[in-house]
Amino acid sequence: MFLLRLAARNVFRRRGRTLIISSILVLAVAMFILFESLMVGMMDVSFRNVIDFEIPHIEIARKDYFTESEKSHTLPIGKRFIPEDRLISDVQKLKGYQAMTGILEFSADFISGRYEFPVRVRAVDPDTFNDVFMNSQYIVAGTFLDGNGPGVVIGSRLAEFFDLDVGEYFVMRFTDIGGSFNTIEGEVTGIVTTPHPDINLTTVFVNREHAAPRIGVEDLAVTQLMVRLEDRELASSQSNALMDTLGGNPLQARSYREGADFLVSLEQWGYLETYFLLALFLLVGAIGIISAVVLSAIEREKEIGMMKAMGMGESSILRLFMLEAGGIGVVGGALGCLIGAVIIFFFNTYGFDMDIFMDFSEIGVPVSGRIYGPWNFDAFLLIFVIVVIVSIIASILPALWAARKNPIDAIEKR
Amino acid sequence: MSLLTLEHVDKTYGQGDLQVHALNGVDLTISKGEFTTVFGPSGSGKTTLLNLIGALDRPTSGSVVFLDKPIGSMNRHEQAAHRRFHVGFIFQSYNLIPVLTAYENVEFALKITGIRDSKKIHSQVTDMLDHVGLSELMHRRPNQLSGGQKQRVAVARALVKHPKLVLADEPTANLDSKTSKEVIEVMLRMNRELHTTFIFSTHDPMVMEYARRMVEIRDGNISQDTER
Amino acid sequence: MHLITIAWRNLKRHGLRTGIALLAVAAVVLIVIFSRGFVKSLTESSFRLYIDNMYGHVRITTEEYALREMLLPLDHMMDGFNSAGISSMVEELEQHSSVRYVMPRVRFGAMASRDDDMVRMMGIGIDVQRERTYGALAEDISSGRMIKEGNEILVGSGLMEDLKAEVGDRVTLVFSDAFQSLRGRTFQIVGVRDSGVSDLDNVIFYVPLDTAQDMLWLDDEASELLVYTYSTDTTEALLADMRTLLHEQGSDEYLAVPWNQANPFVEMYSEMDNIMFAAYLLFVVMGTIVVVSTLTMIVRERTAEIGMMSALGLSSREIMGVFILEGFFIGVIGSLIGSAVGGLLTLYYSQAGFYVEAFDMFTSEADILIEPVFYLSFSMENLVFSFIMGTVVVTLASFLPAFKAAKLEPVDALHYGDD
Ligand SMILES: Nc1ncnc2c1ncn2[C@@H]1O[C@H](COP(=O)(O)OP(=O)(O)O)[C@@H](O)[C@H]1O
Ligand SMILES: [Mg+2]
Repeated sequence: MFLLRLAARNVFRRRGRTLIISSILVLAVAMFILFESLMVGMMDVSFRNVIDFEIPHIEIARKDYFTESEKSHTLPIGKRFIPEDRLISDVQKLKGYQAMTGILEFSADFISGRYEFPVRVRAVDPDTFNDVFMNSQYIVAGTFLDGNGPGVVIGSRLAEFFDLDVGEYFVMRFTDIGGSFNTIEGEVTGIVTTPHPDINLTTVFVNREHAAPRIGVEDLAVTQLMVRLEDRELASSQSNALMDTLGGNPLQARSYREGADFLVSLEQWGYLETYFLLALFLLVGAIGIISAVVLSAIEREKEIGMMKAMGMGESSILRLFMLEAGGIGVVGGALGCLIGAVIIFFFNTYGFDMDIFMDFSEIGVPVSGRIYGPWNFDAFLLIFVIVVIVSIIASILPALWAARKNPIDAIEKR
Repeated sequence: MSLLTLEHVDKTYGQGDLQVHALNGVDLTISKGEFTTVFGPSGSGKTTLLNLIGALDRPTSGSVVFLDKPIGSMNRHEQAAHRRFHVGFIFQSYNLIPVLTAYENVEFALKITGIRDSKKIHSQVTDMLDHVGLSELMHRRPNQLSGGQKQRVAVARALVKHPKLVLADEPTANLDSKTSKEVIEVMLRMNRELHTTFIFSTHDPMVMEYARRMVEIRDGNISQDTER
Repeated sequence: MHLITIAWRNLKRHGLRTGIALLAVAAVVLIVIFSRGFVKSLTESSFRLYIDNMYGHVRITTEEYALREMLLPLDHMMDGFNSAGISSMVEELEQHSSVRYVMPRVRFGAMASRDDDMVRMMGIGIDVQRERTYGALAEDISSGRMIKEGNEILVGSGLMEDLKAEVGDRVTLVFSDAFQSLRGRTFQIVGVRDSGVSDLDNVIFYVPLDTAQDMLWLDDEASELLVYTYSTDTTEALLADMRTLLHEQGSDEYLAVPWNQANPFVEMYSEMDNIMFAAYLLFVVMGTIVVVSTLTMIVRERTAEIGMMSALGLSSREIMGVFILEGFFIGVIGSLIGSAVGGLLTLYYSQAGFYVEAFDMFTSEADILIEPVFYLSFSMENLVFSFIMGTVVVTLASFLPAFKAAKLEPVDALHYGDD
């Protein structure tokens, strides 16, 4: 206890140095908090966009559908199914269940004028689709699908490429279930600009009632059953729960995270980068701590010598220096958290325009516009503890050096 | 009754051509309750001798025995423990801990002996500061005290744990003659009242006058040993 | 001169203390070298892929083509200056001194059916003679041979798997010609290309230029010209030349775009060094903090000595000089150590490379041409840059404690006590 008091006073006595050295730690802490928040914020928006516009919380399909659709160039329309009542009631019983909709997905070439472009067609039931997905809220021209007309809704980027407007004519060419080329023709009824850039280019929406007979599949057939839950946190557990109840069914369920494996690996890469940077910051911080301990020990040589002459054990002196280093860590960690909190406050209220940094949509990350950094108190706690621990560990060697110095030499120095 | 015995003690510093024989075959016996001075010219070996007696250092050869314990051959940790309980030190340059008050500096010596009873600590520390005449100034930090006051704090710190032996290496060298007198008189009073054994080195004749036994040392040898 | 001696000896007085300050400087300089080497190699190898495969040093297309490139249109072809044909345009461009060679290419979409699956791919019609002489294509052929003429194709390794084909097999490809009619033609696979980049290997096949023109009903036309100069550094000059030339020829509908503006990702990465400068500086400042605190302590410790010196009549500028010199020494020696270690490290990893799994997953899913194995780029420029950065920042920072020392009043300084 009295060691603690002594350490605190020494830290305070050289407050100039304490502040200077701890400013290294302050930088490390504030940077980490900012990066972490930036990343979590970006991932959060990305996942939200995936959920709202591409894959909702849970996606149900035939076994192998997911692997096959990823592997092959053409979506496997053969792997369709007709949802049974059992399945539907099972899904409705899921915790946090909100809505579900069936989707029939297939590949086609979108043709207009002299151009053609490969797209993913989502044949949907507009009523239930709008309960699960948000696309219809982002219509910028025309209307979203209604009734069972032959029209399509396309994304704004696709419309730009084709110079298409609402009411203009298009053809979609695809291979039907019998293996021969078939087409859907009609007018563009709506153009949508979602925050998910990919959807704006590659996805075309059409009424399922209209599309099913042209592909040659059963009226009720779908390739995926999309389920929306109340909360993202429930997705994994409910998807697993559903897997269990599906049992012998030839179906499988997956959560949005499994569907968005690109984002998951991006997230991992982001964390790797953040922690690598943190490690470098802490390395410099550790050198700072070592320097602080050595400077302090040199300066207090006589004092330490006297303590040893009085019979104070080396382990106590070791502990004294470690406590002082811990003190610098606490100061640096606390100030860093404070500054980090100020940064996050602004980041959280005013957001950060990702577009000035780079166009993430170009590499396929579903982010555009402003992102807002979330408050993540775990990150504050984590970095604070890490900084204090690193400070203490870094001090061990120089503290040992200080504690083992010969007291006679020290005392004799004038 | 003897407190401390040195037999054929040699101390050599350095190696090869640069060797310095600081002490050559010193024999010395110190009894309980002595008030003894070690004097001699600068470089004669006074500090070296006191360091060996105080278990701050080990002799190159010969034995140093403190109440049947061979302190000359202890390891660092045993020596530290020995000093903690049995020896008090006073140095020329006070060596107080700058971030602690006078009271806390004295208290520090007690705390490292492992005493936890705060009442006992408090009474012992205030007693001791009273003895050295510093009750009024006990909450000042070292940089708010004069040299004589600082040295009196150092005396109190050395004595507060009631050690069997107090070693003072030129305790008055940094002080003017009036303050030197005050400090040495405090030491003498302590010796009388608490029966603590004192050994101090000096080359100030006025300070030597207070000693009851005078050991003269020259070139690492005891050249004269007189009692009065 | 005597100031240098004083400064030097003072540093030696507490070797450990000085050593740690040196360590701090060396560590941050090392970090800067490492990061720059990393970014540089990441961008360089990625840039090379983009330059070799997609953009040349400067790419010339029609404006309309650049706009709708993703659709692989066939109706915005270039037919040369004054519609005299692309071959003569290529030859004309190659007359220019800044041009090393030019590659005309036609890009088009195609499909093949395999079992139930329609395999989608991108065909590139290439000038076999030129690509064989200059291009990077011939180096990456993992089996079989380069195409020569007729209905021969060179297929990416990933695409090869999707086609479930082998070298020597014949495949029938379906594609739309310039008149929008769906056509088919059978080709023989004569070689496999394995560039190591899945974005290239999974979708692209190569066919002789005249075959492509023939099958697509094109005349002597190309969708793009990749123009190469002698080194990436002279891209600007090439670009200027090309733009004047296009203008002189009255071909203002043609667009010349340098590689580093061809794609937002490349654009951002080519700005990387500037963006990262702040980060590098931050690290160096962190290391410098250690030096400042050491120098501050040296000043405090030597207060009496400084008082003495100024009492003896040394000017405050000279006193400052001593401390700035000490900072400078630490800066120079620390940066030197950092550069030496950094040089060895980057040299080693420029050969060996290291593999990061998370990055592999990331790049294979993103639309970026980057190899998942990291190399550090070794360059003298990097070492010199980092050395200078370390030295300058540390020396500048030592002005702070030096000011403190110079400001000390001789009287105060001499009265400085130890408790
Ligand atoms: N650590 C040491 N290393 C080398 N020589 C020393 C050391 N300490 C003391 N000496 C030498 O030993 C001799 C005795 O020194 P010391 O005991 O300090 O004398 P005094 O205290 O009487 O002035 C001197 O010659 C001194 O130079
Ligand atoms: Mg001495």
